[in-house]
Amino acid sequence: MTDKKETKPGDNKPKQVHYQSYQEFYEEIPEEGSLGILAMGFQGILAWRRKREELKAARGETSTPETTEVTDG
Amino acid sequence: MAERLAKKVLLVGWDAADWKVINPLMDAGEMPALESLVNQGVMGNLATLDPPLSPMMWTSIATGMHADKHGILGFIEPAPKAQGVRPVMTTSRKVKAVWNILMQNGLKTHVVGWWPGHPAEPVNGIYISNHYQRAHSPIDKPWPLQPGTVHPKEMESIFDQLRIHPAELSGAHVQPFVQDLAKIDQEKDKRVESLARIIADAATIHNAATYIMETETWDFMAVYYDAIDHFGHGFMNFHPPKMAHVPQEQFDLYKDVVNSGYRFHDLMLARLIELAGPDTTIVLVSDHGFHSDHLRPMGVSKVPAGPADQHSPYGIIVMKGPNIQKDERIYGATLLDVTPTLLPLFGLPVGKDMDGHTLVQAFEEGFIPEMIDSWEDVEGECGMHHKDLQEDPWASQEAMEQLIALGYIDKPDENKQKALDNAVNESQFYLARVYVNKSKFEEALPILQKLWENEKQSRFGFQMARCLLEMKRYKESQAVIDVVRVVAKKEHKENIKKQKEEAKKRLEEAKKKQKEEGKQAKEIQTEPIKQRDKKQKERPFQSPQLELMQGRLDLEIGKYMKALESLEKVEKATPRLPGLHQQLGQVYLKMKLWNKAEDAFNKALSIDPHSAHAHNGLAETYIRQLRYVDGAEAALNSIGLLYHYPRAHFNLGLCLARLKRTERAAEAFEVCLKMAPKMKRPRRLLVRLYKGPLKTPDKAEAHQKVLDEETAS
Repeated sequence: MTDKKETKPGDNKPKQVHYQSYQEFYEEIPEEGSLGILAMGFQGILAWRRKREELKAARGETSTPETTEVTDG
Repeated sequence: MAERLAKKVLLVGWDAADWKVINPLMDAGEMPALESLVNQGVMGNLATLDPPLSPMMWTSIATGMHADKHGILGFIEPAPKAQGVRPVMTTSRKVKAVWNILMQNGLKTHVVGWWPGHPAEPVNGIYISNHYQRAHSPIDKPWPLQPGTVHPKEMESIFDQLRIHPAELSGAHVQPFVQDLAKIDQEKDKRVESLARIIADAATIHNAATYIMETETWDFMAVYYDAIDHFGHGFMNFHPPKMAHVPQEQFDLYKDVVNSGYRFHDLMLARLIELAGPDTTIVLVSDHGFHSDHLRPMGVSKVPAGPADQHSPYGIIVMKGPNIQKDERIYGATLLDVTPTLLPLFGLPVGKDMDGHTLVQAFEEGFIPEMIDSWEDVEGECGMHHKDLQEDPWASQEAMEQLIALGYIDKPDENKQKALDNAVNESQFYLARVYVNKSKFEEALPILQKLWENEKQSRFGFQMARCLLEMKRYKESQAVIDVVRVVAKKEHKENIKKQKEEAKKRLEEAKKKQKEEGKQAKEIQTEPIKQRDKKQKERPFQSPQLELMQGRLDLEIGKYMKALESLEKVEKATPRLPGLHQQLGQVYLKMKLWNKAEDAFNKALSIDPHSAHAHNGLAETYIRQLRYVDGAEAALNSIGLLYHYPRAHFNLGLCLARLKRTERAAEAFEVCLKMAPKMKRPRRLLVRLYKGPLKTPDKAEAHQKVLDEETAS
């Protein structure tokens, strides 16, 4: 019935974002974020969090509690 | 099993989305994603139900049934073990939702954020409850997911990380909504904080939805966003055109919020469309609209669910996908029709016990859905909760606070029993209104009588008087109206007293704060307040809705001049009151003043072009003037806005019969009788049509038999 092979919820957890032009997208993310990035959904928010952490780390600031990638916890 | 018409279906819910806001934005090219769906599919109004309370409406959308069948009656319900009240839960839904039916048929389904959606239902995909997105702790404190938020439980940790806390947002997220952010003192004005919360909640739901769409297989996916409703309740008063009572400074600050909220939703929709892929059928709906123009109320009723006064009776529907018509309008849809339209997309029959109908006009020509007696009788695992499942009430506390903050419900009393009694009364009142909405006045009346006996609240009495009026028990209706008038006056006085006390309290608090801050106290301007109080004293109390009902009652008992007097009194006080000119038109019709009636209905339509009753009134006026082509057009306009309107189908039939389009006339009368089987005139006319020009004596005989039986009984 489904268009892909049958899987259980959670089987396809992504390891990383996989846009074709990801690098370009990532480079353009401003540190303060934007509505457009929120509208991208989870890939956008994770990329924004990662970018923010990198910039903070580069400035020697401490990290915020949010995570930057989806993990099993 | 019938042919499957859709490969996959994405159902998107935008609470309170309204074409009146969307159309200008689409025209300006500011909602391109929605515009692409509209251009490639069908669009129309989706008539809401009464009472227009979101948990009831979204359950009707998901089940195709009225609330008396699905069992969700308002925002709150009694909590187990006498723990007071809690927000409504999925465990209280008595019937299968569309995702349960689909799962039962081997289709993979996911649900995100549906309301009510807690605890998450054990479907064969992922189910994220409507408690998922609410941030209930500061950003630097733990923010655990409430138990029951995610199904399957093993995926909790993933979805936990996809949430966005309002404090995580920056000015860059809020500035598109409020350009002069720097001008706002956020210590005093908490609107920016509430705006950030709405944005974060919507983005959190969107994260969960996009995650599922990218990583899971699916046949059906439902995702519900509540933000447009929240933008509306918080900021619609600042939406252009400026309302007289809104200060210019506030208007300038917040005038873009509502439009920006829609643009944000369009951006999210674009992503959903991209992830769904070109072959997916997309259905976008809202449960009701939201007044955005001159119909915006100045204030909301000081009763539970009072903010629903801002809701308008038409939501939206857009459908796009294989086998769906392209660039067409559909007419007469109600939110009860959504599930009966989704099931045939998967080749599944529609339950005869569903109150809605398949929107066949949305499909390519010649489509006829299959029917089944009831999906409730079909056994097998469907992903509903086990019947005896009970929830820990603490889990609902945060969602309850959000409802209180929005003004949907009153803060529960300290006394849990009182809160429980209030909740039971409210749910009974909503059930009675559901019956009134279904024209089941006999069933509504005893509930309302009991409520009225227990507590003299004008809203209980008002609905009771309305039932009695519809049941032609005019004397009793008049007696109740007389008491309601006294009660409403008393309530009005108490409200004014309460408002004064609140204003006094605020003033004292402001003075105290000024003193604490060591600032020199400004002279308080009391003169405008005194003038307002004087005006309130001078103005005689009037309840326009009550006077409208009085006018209607006088009209029914043939006191036309008295009816006119009541209505003219209302016109003087509130000339643009929705429904007033429609009622005046009815009085003029009875008085055979056709031109005046026509003027009145046209005036009603100039105030609210979406009034199905005014269009129908116009149809009746044209019929009296023997203008049958105009009459048919007006009746069709009425039906287009409100399909379940027997009187309009009757008027359409009458015009078509006079125009010698007898087959179509018979169809219209049949539809009318399906909706209102006790109406005699359409049945008599059908007997004549079937006996005469249509030459189908067996049908004439069948209708004659019903008439004879009714006469005999």
